Amino acid sequence: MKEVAEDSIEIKSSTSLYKEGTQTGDIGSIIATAESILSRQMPYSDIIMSIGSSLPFGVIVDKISFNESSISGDVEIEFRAKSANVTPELIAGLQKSPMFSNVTAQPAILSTGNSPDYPVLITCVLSINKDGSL
Amino acid sequence: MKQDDFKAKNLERLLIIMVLVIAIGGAIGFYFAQDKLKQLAIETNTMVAKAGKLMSGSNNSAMISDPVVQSLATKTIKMTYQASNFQAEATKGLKKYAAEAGITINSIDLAPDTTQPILFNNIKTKRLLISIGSPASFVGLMKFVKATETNIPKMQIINISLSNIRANNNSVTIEPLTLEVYIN
Repeated sequence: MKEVAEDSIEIKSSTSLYKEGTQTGDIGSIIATAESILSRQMPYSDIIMSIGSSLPFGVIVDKISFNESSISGDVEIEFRAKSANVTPELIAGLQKSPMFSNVTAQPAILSTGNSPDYPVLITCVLSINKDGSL
Repeated sequence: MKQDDFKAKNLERLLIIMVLVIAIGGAIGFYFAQDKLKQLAIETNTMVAKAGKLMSGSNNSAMISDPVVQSLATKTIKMTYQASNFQAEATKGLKKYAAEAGITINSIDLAPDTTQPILFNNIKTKRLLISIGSPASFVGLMKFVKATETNIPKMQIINISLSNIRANNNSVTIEPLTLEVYIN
């Protein structure tokens, strides 16, 4: 799965750009640029897979939404469950992952017609630890 | 009966010799593996130290001509798209990943407020809105997201929203993705 895709893209002649850098003695800023780009990277695929692998039996993910503030703030995730009793187990499963911290969850029983197989909505709030990615 | 004893003793000796050979072979292998790891650690330390010096601004001609530094600089330059054709190139890459992951891209558009602040030096960010056909295969979607995360030049998903995730039929509903690319 760790396939680093090399696009056959024509990069603004990396060699000529590199020469520009060397001529101005500005390679340090090029490296700093790399750092500024990499610091914005967020491994959402690892995060979503970690959520999936933390679920106890009888719980499914209903809604996940990430945006820029997810890097530094709290994230809300909605789960559906067969019973509200699994809530502590769900919290414990997510807490075990190095990617998540400050996990809280609140179950609510939905009207029966809404989702007969998974009548409980568990709204979970957690923080993402970017450095805890795989 | 005597012949059987003889065979058993031979077998015992043979087993002892085999154990010794395995132990010695393992020790030699461990020695070489450790040596290789040490070399790798030294190379990594050298690269980190040089990157640190560069970050602190201590550039000099010797540093600039260093092959390790040259390699770092070249890799860094590859992280960005060229301003003149970034959308076409990014679209090409995204469509390729979608095809490999078995998901459908309905459209790829430049996000309305696409002029983002300058990230660093001359590097700017541009955003693309990607509409993916729903419901999509959950596994396929994860494959697609992973591919964008490992793409060179770099791409970063900014907004992703999934709902109705159903493992039993491997389907998910997805809102349009916002993806950021870096250009110079």
